[in-house]
Amino acid sequence: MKRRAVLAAGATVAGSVAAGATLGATADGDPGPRPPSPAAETAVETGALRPGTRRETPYFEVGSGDGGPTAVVVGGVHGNEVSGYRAAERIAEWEVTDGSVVVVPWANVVAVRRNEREGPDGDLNRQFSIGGEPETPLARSLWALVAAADPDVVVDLHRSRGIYGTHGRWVGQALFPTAAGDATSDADAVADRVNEAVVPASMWAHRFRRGNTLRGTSPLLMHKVSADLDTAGVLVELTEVYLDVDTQVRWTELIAERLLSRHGIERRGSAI
Amino acid sequence: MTTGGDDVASESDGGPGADRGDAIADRGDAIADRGAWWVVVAGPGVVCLFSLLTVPLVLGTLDARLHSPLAAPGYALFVALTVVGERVVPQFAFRLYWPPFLFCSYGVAVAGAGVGRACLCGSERLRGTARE
Repeated sequence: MKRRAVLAAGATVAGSVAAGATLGATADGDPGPRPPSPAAETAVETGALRPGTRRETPYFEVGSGDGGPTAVVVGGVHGNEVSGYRAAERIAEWEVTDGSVVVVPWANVVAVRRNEREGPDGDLNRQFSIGGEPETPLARSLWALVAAADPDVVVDLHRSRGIYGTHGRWVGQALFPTAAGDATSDADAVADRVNEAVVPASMWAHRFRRGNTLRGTSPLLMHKVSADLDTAGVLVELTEVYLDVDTQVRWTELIAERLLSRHGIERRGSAI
Repeated sequence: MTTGGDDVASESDGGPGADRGDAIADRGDAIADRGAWWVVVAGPGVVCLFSLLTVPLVLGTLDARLHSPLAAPGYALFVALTVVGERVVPQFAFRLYWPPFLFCSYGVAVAGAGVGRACLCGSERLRGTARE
């Protein structure tokens, strides 16, 4: 991983935990998103996207500190998809024993604070033009971080209303791989593993499956990862149907853990 | 003058005492009918089936780790409702399916309990016929 490049992509390094602590202060008194506590044995370095603006949001790097594979995990691209950013918060607190993970828990921090899908510039996940510059400063900043990390795998955490293949246009309980690397087989293997581990057999509609492959046909972050970086990645979608938020978070974190493990990135205290 | 003997005679030949007896019998029938009606809509069978459909599912939605195989019938009904509902009213939030689910569960419980009672009655009649 190009650690220096990653750090250069964000503006602020060191002391950002303190900066992050004020991140969530909102007018209505809601404390909002909070930064994770640095795990004792894990290297945590932080920076920020869009520093000095209302859209400033921190990112965290957790890793073994001895090189190895790198992953980028993004949550909060849609501000109302709580399980995605809460799972990312938990990942930022992992003790990673092999490799490293760059975590952006609240990519669209304004939308997260408002608990709305879109931020002031619209839907962040429709601003990653394929083959060119992303359309807005926040999208460009996030893309610069992802590209500079030179990741082995990218994971984007989301939540849908309905279930993929069951409820019309909804895409929950599915893993959408990029066309690069072994992302397709990773998605299949992780879906099977997670189904076996945590999804009860009698919850047949909630069993995870692989969605269609992302090949760069839409201006979504993971489509761009596939087409422009030619990097393995998975867009993870949970559902809100029947699942409480804590379960959504647990399962999302577990999927991320298994995906990263397939790329040699291991955490201490695996959930499975 | 009315004597006790007259009363006895009048009851036997359809006098005013007989009317009172009919009224009591009618009231008894009414109570029995109302009892049957309550068994149909809220009898033990209905309560058991309704609970079986709803309680395990409610536990599962509080925390998926509480989801048990007992929730399978309610889960199937809930998913079926959302599949149909999503096609009819796509903008309907899925959490709003709980009231229709409870309503449908109650309907299924009443129907199921009715079928159960009919089966029991049928088997008892068959046994009675066999004894005769």
